[in-house]
Amino acid sequence: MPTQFIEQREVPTADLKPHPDNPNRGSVDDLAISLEEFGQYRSIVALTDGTILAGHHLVEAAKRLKIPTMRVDFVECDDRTARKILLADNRLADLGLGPSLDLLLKNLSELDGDIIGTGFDDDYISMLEEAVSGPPEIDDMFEEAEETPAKPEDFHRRLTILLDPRFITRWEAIRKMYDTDNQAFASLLGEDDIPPLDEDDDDDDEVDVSAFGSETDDE
Amino acid sequence: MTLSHIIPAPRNILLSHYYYLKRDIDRLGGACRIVADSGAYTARYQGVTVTTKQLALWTKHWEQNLAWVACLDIAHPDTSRTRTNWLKMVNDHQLPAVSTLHAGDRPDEMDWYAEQGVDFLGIGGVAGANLTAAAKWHWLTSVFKYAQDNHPQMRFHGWGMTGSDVVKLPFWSADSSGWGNAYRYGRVTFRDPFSNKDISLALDGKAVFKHPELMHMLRDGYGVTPKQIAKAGPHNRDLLVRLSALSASVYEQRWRYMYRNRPVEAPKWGRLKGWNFGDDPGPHIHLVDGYNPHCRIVADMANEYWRDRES
Repeated sequence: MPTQFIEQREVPTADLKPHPDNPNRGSVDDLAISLEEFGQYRSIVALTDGTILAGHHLVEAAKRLKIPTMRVDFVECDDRTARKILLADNRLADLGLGPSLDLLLKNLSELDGDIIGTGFDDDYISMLEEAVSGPPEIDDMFEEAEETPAKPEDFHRRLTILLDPRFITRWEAIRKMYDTDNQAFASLLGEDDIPPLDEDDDDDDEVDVSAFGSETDDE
Repeated sequence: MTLSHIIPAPRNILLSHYYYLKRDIDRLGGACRIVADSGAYTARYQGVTVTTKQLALWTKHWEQNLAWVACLDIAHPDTSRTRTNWLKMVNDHQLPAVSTLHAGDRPDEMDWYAEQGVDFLGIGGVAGANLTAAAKWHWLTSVFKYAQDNHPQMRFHGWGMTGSDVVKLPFWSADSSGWGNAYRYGRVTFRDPFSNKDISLALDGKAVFKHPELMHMLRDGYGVTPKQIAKAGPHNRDLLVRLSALSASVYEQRWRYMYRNRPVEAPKWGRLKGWNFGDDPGPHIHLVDGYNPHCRIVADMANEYWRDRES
């Protein structure tokens, strides 16, 4: 059943009472700041007996600030509809993709730091700026990376092998004779330098093309 | 079954020739954008040698399904052998294969490829290497700096690189196998499609209920309830594959959002008959999984989500 609008009226804040089953948990602190900054820019929605359907925490904030009256849109509806409005009031705002980050930042930026009452803070704006700003310039990243440049040996691979301890002693003796691990290891192989790898990409081998796609079993 | 109407289904897959030698890749086709590498590194550890001829014939067999394929590449510093393998693919087999620069290779190695008309290279040997973060970053930024200054048309695929630092670089694409941690290890990172917030948790039957904000994210973003995924097991493995793929998609969307004003244009080189990117700019993330049924789940998600939108 749709609601029926009765009237809009300024009423004593104390006359407004929360719905006993209101599940929503708003931030009264933030709403109080907003109320101080902007005043009441949106009406409370309540049944004619003063039971709030939308705007619970704004009323709570007003009571905390000792604001004597509030503007209320009074409506009439059955209990079931009242309960559905109670649920919809917060839930519907949560659905969808949320705000456009670009437009959110644009609006916040145009306030030049005067963001009191919006519910946003400087940390949030920094996070937004990071999300919206796009990637850093390659030149900047490279310049920063140049402060700790990579050395050729950074790209060598580590070899871990399990040996009889006597080999370790021998290796350490050989290692002392050379400037680098590579030179010492090459000497063990009887080479002056790093030997080339054997060619193992043998394209003369026959390829069984009938095997392609031959397995239909997923396992 | 696409779970979410909020998160676009992932549609990019990377297959390894070695794992998919006998698999039917037609079954993954459709909306999925499939690229392939040789898998030679893994094969070698299992005592198997993958040859260029084998890779080339396999690529031709499935070319209608493949967007691009990488040639056999050899780790730093054997750039000449990588060139040889690339030339075999291009000249002997008439396949515009994608070659790779490896961590430690001189950035001007890309000059030679640029002279051959190539505008698309892989960047590899970084993930899993014994490199310090500083050395890795210096090398990566030097490659991108060199490309920017000398070959601004050059595009890059980052092999196994999707870290939060790496995505600052204008890769055209990258691939990730880490997306499968939920169904492999029972640990998942849910990325919130509504914000930049991530929630990582163990699917141990309890943790999922300790995050009140997760309920909203799961229900409204991912289309599931916490109970459905509280504990990882065979009963919900397929579901976890789908959710993991969606979480990876959120990550990809964030990356693409970062580049929305500076889109990375698609390369011209490498396009096979199955190229279905059109001119869709990057970055793109390709999901990697050697287990065929998981890739089929991703393919099914892609087909359901993207076919409707593109038809």
